[in-house]
Amino acid sequence: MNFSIWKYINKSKLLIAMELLLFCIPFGFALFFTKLGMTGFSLLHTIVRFNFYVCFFVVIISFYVISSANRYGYKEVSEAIAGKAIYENSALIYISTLLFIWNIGMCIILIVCSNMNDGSSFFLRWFPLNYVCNITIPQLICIILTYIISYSENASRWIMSEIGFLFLISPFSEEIVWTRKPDFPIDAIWNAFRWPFAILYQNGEWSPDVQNDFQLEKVRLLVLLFWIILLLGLSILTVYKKRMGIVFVLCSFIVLAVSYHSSSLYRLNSSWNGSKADYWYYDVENKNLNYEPTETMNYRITDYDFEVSFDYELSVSGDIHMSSDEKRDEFHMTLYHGYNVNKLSPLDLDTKIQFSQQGDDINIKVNKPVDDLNLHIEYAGHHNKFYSNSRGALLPGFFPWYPMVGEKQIFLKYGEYGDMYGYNPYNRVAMTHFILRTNQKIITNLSRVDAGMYEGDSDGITVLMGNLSDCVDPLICDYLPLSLYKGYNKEAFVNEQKQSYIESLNKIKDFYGIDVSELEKKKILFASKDIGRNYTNNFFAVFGDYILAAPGYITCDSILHYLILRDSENRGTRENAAIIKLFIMSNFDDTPEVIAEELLEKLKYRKDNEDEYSEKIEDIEDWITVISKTDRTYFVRNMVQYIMNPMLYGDERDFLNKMREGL
Amino acid sequence: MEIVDLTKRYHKKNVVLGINLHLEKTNYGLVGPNGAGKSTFIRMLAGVVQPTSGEIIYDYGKNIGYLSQKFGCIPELTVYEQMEYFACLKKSTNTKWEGEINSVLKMVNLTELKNEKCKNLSGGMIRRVGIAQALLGRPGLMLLDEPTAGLDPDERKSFSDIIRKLKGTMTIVLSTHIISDVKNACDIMLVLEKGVLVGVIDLEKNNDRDIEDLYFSALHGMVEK
Repeated sequence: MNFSIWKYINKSKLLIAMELLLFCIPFGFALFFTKLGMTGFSLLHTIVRFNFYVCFFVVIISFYVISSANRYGYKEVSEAIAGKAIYENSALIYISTLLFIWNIGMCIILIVCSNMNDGSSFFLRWFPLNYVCNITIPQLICIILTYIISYSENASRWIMSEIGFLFLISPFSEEIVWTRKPDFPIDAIWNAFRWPFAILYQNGEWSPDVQNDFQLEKVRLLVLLFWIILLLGLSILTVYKKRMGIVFVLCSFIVLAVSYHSSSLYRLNSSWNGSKADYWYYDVENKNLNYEPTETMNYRITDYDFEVSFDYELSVSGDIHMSSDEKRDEFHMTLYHGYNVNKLSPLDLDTKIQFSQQGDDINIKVNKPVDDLNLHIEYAGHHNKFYSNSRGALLPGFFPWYPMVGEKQIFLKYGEYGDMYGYNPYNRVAMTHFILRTNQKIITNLSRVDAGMYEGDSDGITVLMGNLSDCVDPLICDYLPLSLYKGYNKEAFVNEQKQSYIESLNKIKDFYGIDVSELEKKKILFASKDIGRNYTNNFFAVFGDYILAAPGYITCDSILHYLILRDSENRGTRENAAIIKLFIMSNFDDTPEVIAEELLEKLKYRKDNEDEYSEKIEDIEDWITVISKTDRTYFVRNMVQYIMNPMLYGDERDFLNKMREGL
Repeated sequence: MEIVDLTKRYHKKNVVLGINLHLEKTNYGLVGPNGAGKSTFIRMLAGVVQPTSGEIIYDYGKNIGYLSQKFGCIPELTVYEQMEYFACLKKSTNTKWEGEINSVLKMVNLTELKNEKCKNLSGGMIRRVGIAQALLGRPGLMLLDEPTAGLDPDERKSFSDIIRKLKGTMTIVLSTHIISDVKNACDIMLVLEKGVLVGVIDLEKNNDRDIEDLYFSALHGMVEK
């Protein structure tokens, strides 16, 4: 290394201009966003998203600088004077130092931004690893690759391969997805090919989740490690011509092979098996979305004793005790098909079982009728939305990430609610005793009885992990510190949620006259908004001992929709009532005047454009007249009671007549 | 300087094979047909290519001046700055630079152009910069790989004059495919063919013979090695 030659590297005006751009544009924007009040998390996410363009620019600068000796013909003379790759090594250190300063500067801006705009100090201890893995290491990979290419005697030929590399790491190649399942699995081949190039944060369409990390899953870290070892090996091979480089290259491919390990990754793009995976599986492939109420089971699991580990993906090992009201030799359990049961065996020596896992169903056949069945179960796997790895977990109690007795409907289509889709938030188990052991710090509805051990009775276990903090409050269990901003700190968050909870319950109870006793005095677990993102009716769920909600979703609207849509028995009636299908789309957080006015507007539009709709609203004129003349509060209250219990009034015409009578 | 059984193999092909040679402080002209291994031989002496086998023993330490076949300069630098760059690599101290750089620039007649940007120099001038940088630090061995390629006759003559002036101050190995350059600047002609040193010809002893005859005789095995 010869640092004294740096001043000759930096003589080019073009290089100085490029260096200025490299600093001025990102730093200018970062400072501007800081001034605008962006939180540290949002700013880091913005920088991470645009890191590809920084990397691209860094590659251009690096190639310009490092290939200079090769390009202008003083490489050999320099090497003869001062040793192998003397110029290239000095140039590499020069670029690395430049980037080091860039990264230090950006970190300082992030720290300042967090101090100015965040509502908690969580970001400051959270961001270094996320920053290094998403910004610094990809930049380093780019410059080391450029170093190797620049040193090559055929640099101009190799630069084409670097352009290919840049395309493959770019958001543009990330956008190459198959929205429909192809006949030949070309998508799987493409994804496997592209996987090693996923060194940058992958978020073409999916913005980050404050509970999850910036994709620091083990397999992604392994991909970064693969590149570091590979490039080290290639440097040794091409620059120093030492065979030891081959060892590094071979090691790197071993690391890469491990990185293909099945893993829970939060990468919901628009491919058929991305954010739409379950729509494709349940609606397109299985056509099984007609929600059937769970049969009244005469058997249940009364005890779960589970060891849960979060590594590449969820892995569970534990015992369950099943109890039946009458002796039987066949049992069914539901476990999401993304989890693979590796072992299911009886704990009682004189009992023998056979089991099969087909889709979400686990069928257990016992060699003799029994009323008690003790089983040991081991399973592992993941769901692409309800993630579970060593960095985070989003496992709601209503989702069968643990075996639930009977055949549960996991994914729903709400025919009466705009034909929208969602995960079934009403799946429950019978009130059961749970013991959960884990090596991670988790947030759960169960009580912590010892280090890594949680226990309690509930009708569903929710396990949350990641960027969450405990909250010492009688009502609220946790909060998401990265979502807090200046003026909205932990206290403000807790007060707002409590106030919203109380006001919503009061409004539903007092105004709509609906019994909300099941919602009262329950502790609240907050998960990130991603629990319900892109789906309907998944932001809020009530369990026997707790409420699971996304921040900001304990509202009259969320609760009322949750309660209305729970009534599966009357789903068919509601689907056939055109006025209900219009009214159910209302935002119940609005005032009755606004709700009624919006309904009126919709009806008038339907009347004027009747030809556009296949479904006709009978007596549309009468509806318009009645709503116009009825007291809005009276109408909205009665309408809510009607959709909560359609049988209360008979059919739509009866309800209309009732309202007319009130005029 | 001693060269012992020097061999270079690329992809199982011998590019240079078993060269044994003792070099004195004089000017050597290395000639041979295209692909004879001249550049590989010179690059091995310069240390930029590692021999497959054999040894090079430098009597005076590895203080080498080298001008590569494709030598070029950083366009944005002035001639003086370019010399400073090479002086940096040679780890000359700051105090030495100025005098030494001026001295070598004077030797190659570039004093007046020392503040000129390299991008404005002709090919011949750049070659002179190349010789100047090779002379920096008073090397014991100067290796010049095809230094006259692409130069016009005047520039070639000027170049030969410079090399001739240096005779006896160091060991100079000049690789070229232009025989007349050897005649003008060197005392001993080294003839390479297919990687094998086929002739070491003392030009003073054979000054009665045409140099091209000597060269072809060496190629045809008619000159004693």
